[in-house]
Amino acid sequence: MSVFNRLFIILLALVLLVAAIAVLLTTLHVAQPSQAAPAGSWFVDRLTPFAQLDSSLSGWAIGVCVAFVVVAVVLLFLELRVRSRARHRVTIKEDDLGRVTLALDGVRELADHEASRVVGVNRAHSQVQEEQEGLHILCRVSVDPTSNVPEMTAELRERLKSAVEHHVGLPVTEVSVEAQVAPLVSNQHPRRRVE
Amino acid sequence: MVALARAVASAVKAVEGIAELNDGQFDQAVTYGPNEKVPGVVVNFGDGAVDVEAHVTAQYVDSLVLSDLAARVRQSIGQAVADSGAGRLRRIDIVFEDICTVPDSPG
Repeated sequence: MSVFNRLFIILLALVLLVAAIAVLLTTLHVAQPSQAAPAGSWFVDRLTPFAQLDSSLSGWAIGVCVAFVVVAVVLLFLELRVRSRARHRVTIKEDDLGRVTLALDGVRELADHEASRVVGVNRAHSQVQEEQEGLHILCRVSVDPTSNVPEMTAELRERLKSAVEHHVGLPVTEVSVEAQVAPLVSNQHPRRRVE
Repeated sequence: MVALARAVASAVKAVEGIAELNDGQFDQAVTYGPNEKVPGVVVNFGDGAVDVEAHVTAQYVDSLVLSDLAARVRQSIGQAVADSGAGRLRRIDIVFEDICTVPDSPG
């Protein structure tokens, strides 16, 4: 049902977008009705009055069309974004009975949790990518300035790899650790990197 | 359909290691019925068989192994579908939407 609803919304948004753009082009006299729609079609007859609007009505028509275009673009963006986010899962197991999957956000949560258990780590934020050979984890941590960063990052790499492989059951091909003394801020580049 | 979804939801929630059913922030895994909805469970009937999709949040414990937990969830769903007499169970998909790392509060 949800797939049907989504397809319906996408189709509706596309129709709305095409119709609004055709009306807009006709009203602005950028295109003739026969150019904005297939010649002889039902839609040409609907477009023709928009080519003959006076200035006040054409202003309204343009405003409404722009609003429809914005609504259609927002709807399309939201629906297509939803589809792309929904695919961000890894398959743990697949057999005759069905499939077992895990959202990448779940792996990230697990990695953050494991990293935060390492002594000296104040806060952790991980990113997880699925690659052909396995999972790739990038873990950014803010650390206690008195801690031994190389030892800590080595422990982090080992711990994240073994924990994710144990809990999730998929191979972890690479764990990259970026450590910094300053608190983590979203989208902030690390001050200090240890590979 | 919604009665079976409700039975499946109860069965899934009863499995130790499942924190909650999760309808998915983006996927909207929900079964709708008259004046009610069952989030986290999607039930489909076709060709006399039943397909079930369960979206869950796993509770983190040190011994957590997701494939084992999924096997227990599948077993529980299988029992619920058999008890309901809804038909042959063809497919069970388990989606772990998240892992809850906050410990369960006692009581």
